[in-house]
Formats: sequence, structure tokens, C-alpha cells
Amino acid sequence: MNRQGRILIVDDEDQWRKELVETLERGGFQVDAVSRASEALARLSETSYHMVVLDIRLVQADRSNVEGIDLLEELYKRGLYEAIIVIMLSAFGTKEHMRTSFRKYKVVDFLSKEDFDNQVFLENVLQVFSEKVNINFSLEIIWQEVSRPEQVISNLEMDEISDTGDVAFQNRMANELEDLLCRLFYQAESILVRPMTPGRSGTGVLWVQPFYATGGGRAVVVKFGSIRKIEEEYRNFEQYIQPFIGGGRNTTILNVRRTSRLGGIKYSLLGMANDNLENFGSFYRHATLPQIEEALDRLFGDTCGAWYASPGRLRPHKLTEDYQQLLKFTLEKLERGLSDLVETVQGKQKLYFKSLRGRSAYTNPLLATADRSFVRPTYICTTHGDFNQHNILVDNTGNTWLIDFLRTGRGHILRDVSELDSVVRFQLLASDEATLEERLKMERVLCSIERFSQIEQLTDKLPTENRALARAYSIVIHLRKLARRLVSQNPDDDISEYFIALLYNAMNTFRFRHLSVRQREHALLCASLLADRLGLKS
Amino acid sequence: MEPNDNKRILLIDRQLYWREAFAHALRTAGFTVCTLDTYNYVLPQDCLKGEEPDLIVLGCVRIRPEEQMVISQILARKHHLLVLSVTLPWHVMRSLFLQGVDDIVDKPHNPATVVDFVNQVLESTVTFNSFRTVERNGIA
Repeated sequence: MNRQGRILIVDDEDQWRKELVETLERGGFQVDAVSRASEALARLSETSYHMVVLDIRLVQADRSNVEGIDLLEELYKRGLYEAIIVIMLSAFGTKEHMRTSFRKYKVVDFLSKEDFDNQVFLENVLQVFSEKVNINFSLEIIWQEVSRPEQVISNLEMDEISDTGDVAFQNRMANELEDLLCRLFYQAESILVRPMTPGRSGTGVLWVQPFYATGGGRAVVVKFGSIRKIEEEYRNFEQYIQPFIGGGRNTTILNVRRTSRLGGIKYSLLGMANDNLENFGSFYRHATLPQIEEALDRLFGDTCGAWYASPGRLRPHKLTEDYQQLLKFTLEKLERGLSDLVETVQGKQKLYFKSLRGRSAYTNPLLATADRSFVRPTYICTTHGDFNQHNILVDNTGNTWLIDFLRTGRGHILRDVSELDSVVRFQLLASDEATLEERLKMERVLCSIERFSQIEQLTDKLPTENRALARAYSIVIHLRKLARRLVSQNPDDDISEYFIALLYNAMNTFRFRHLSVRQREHALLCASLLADRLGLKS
Repeated sequence: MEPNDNKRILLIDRQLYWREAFAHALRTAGFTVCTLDTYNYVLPQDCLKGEEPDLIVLGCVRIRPEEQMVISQILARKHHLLVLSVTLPWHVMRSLFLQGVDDIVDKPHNPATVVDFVNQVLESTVTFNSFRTVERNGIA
């Protein structure tokens, strides 16, 4: 390993910079030095440092200059004090400067140049690194399935960075990712790291098995991404997940760390039988129908059971507002999604699908739902908010765990089940596994009922030789039975609240560019049929 | 209701005047205050009804071994600590901050000023609740 602690020295005096650089390099650190706060900020935005050694007066001739304290304030404002530790070193520091630096800006030491000693200073810095930074620069990181960390950060969406494909940016993020792992696993000697398929939140997920001096540890899952997203996920976890931990198979947090730009959460999956973990998408590919149904029963009954067991009282709920806030789509975004399909779907008031036989006209769901606001009496409870194939993990005994709590919060009780229902039909039913005609047939059957109690009647209503379609259909019927169970306390048997949830999920899906045209057409067609079912006209 | 009503302060000062003056100022500002005139700070648990204090305020003239002892005990129990003293030397202040004292100020002439110092410390303990808090204190 050739990783080193990176230190930035900010001091206006050439002699001091030289001396500090030499001293710290002797201690094995990678050291840069600048003379002004503005240069320091530029360096900090280019390189990820672990420590800053900061003078207070950065213009010797100006006795009122406290640029060092101003820089502390700037680091504080940018949240960098959480990732970078600061040692103040000054000839002009007052006791009030010391007080402010420790109390407000959480510096780790405040030294005077008057009694400076090279050796003592180096020992101080080494001690601070070992006691406060909690980082293992010697950690051996062994990547599996990828050769370089750059390959796992291509999906990242970073705040204020528009071109995340830039090579320099990717190199920096790759370095920061390794730095993050050295912090999260600072007690380990080595780690085996395998990337997991990321979701759509612009963050990354890793499966990591640590090895300690005493032997191999249990595998964990690491979520990483921009500081803002990881902090939000951590807050959601504390608010919505933490209270329900205990007695079941839960996801819990072992550690949270950050670098200058990246945050990371180390999740432990409590009760995992072994380390053979996969996401729901890959489980769906090879598991038998009963195995999938059992995993779904455990997901809704065990993993998330405590959320759905506390639905509160029946009350009118603004479903349109709920789903628009959750899915963050606007009419403009949906119109852009529809215009992507212009080669295969034509028309404005009515839609015509080239892949379908005949020239049937279908309701345009965008026009039909414009200015419509759906309200239904239903239940509100904690929901995951992003129930897709990547965020549900399954072990080889069929038990399930959740990750990615960025959208977790209170909302419509059928949010999660309706999203998974949509994922199965539009995404897990692969593009080449069913024609649009076959998909239309399935949607017509699924839309043929008006009440939850009629779901049972649908079980054998789709005669098909297409095994993939039959499999998707069976799973969807099973999910709808689970949905019915979630709202079983509602004396009203009306299934329209579920159809509304499906409508918004379908509309959100047809704008996903990572899906094939056929899958997006399927989502659009489904939204159109649901709009008809709900009595909407375009 | 005063916003500080649910904040519990343990005030330790051997000097009766300062103890009473600070306690009065803090109670007037709405804090629940428990005072102690010895350095055996385990005793006042009763007056805080068995609850842990949100902040301990230690008033003293200087930091001698006995003050150092009680400070170490307080910090070992992970309490937040504000030290009110009389013009401490640089190296003593640095040493206390390195040990983890939240703030160190000169005993104010106007006892009511202590309320500002207490509020500043309490505020920083609330807002400073992010990645590093987790790193310092671990996951609950």
C-alpha cells in the first residue's frame, strides 16, 4: 500500500512552510503548502486532505489579519471540518482565538510557534492521526468483478458537478472512495469488495467482507454517495428505521464516515444466514415461483411488517400530491419521456402504438391526468419509498433486507407494494421476454376488476404459453393479494387507490431511458388503461 | 413555557456567592439547576431526579490537581462541561480543551452573562450532530 496521510499547510512565512513540510514528510505524510486562504480553498477543492495545519495571521505586515480564522469559518460552512481535522499553529494566537477555534470550529489542537519543536510537533500529528482520524492507510482493498475503483463510481451523481464523466473527476472520486473504505474499515487488515447494482438515486452500493487480525468478519453492505444524499439517508434511517430494529431481520448501521466529497454508511444485515446475498432482481431470475412468493411474504410481513402494522386511522389522503412528491416528476419531464417514444408511439389526444396490431387509439395519460387530483380514504405509515429490484436484498434462505433509505418516510401504505408491482411488470419482465401485444393482454386482465376482493378471480385469467409473462403475472397477483392485506381494515373494498398508485408509477417509468423502448411502451400503455379504468379522458 | 425548562444544569462552585448568583441567573432563564459545593459530583443525582445533566458548569479560581481530578471524572462520563475560571494560562486552557472541555471562559462580572455561555455550549452540542458525532460517540 502506498497510501499516505495528506496534509495541507497554510502559512504565509516561507521559512515556516519549508520547515513544516520537511518535518511532516519525514513522518511519511504527503504534504502541500500554500500561503493564503484563497490558495488553500483552491487546493481543498482539488485534493482530498486529511489534515490542515493553519496559521492565523496570513499577512505578516497586517496586525489585524486573521485570515486563518476566516478560513476555519469557510471550512465550517462547507462542512469540511467533519472530514478534515485542523491544527492551529500561530505566533499571534490569543486565548480568545484558541477558545473560538476549539469551541466553534472543533480544531484538534492549538499550538504556539513560540515554543515550537519539530519532533514534538511530528509526534503530535502522528498521535492525532492515530487517535482522531481513525483511518487505516495500510488497508488492503481487493476488488472483485472490477479491476479498478473508477468502474464503480460512474453512476455517482455529485452535487454541483455536472460532468461526472470527466476523467480527472473520476480519478479523484476513486481515490476518495478508497479513502472512505480506509475510514469505514479502519480496524480491518484487508477487505474484499464487490460492487452491487446501484439503484437510481445516483449513489453506489458495495458488498464488503472485512478480514481482521483475528480472522474474517461478516460481510456488510456499504452505501456511498454525495455527502448530502448520505446525510439524508442517515437521518431517514434514524427517524424511520432505528425505532423498529430488534427481533427480526433488520438492516442496521455500524458506521458512518465521510471524506471531502463522499459520505458512506456501513450497513449490517442482522440475522443473515450466510454471505450469499443478492438483490431481488437477480433472485427473481433464478428462484422458483414459490420461493419468490415466500420471499415477498417475508419482505412485507417480517422485514417491513412493523411499518405496515401501524397504519393509524383511515383518513382522506391526497394521492396525487403523495406520488408527485415521492417520484419527483413534472409534466415537462413526462412530456420529454413521451417524446422519446415518438418513433413508435404517435398521436397527441389519442396514442397509437406501431407495435400493436390494428390501429386502436389509447388514452394519453398525460392529458388525462393533467390538473387531476386524486384523494382516497386510506392509511398512512412509514414506507421505504424506493422499492426496486436493487434495494431489496435476499439471502439463500429467502430472507430479505432493505438498503437505500433516501426516500424513506411516511406516505401511502401501498407505495412500496405498488412500486414493486410496477418493477416486476416493466423491468423484471425483460424486453425480449414478451411482445407488446402480450403485455397489453396482461394489463387488460389486471385492469378488469373494481374491488380488492376480486383479485383472487384473476389467478387463472391469463392463459399464456409465455413462461416469463406467466411468471410476472403470478408474482403481480401475489403482490396485489399482499396489497389487499395491507388495507384489509378499510371497510371499503375499492381498488382504485391501488390503481392510482400504479398509474403514477407507470407514468414515472415510461421516462426511464435505461429501459428498452418496449418496456417503456408497456408502462405507457398500462398508464393509459389505468386512466380509462379510473374514468379519465384525454 | 420557557424554552430552557427541560434543560438540566449541574453547577459546581465552592464559593457560595458565585454558586448562588449563577444558579439564580440560570433559574431565571428557565433552566433546572442543581448546585453542589463540593467536588463529589455524584451526589446531586437526587436533585436532578436521577436524570443526567445536559451540561455541567464548574466554577473555580484556578485549575489545581483537585479541579483537574473532577474535570477528568466529568469528561470520563461523557458529560458536556463549561469551565468558569479566572484568567487561566495558555497551556492550561489548551490542555483542558484537548481533554474535551466544551468551553472555558473567565468568570463574568455580571452573573447573568453565564446564561449566554451556557446557551452557546448547549447550542453547539445540538447542532454539532453529524458524521463526526457518530465518529466520536459511535452508533447508539
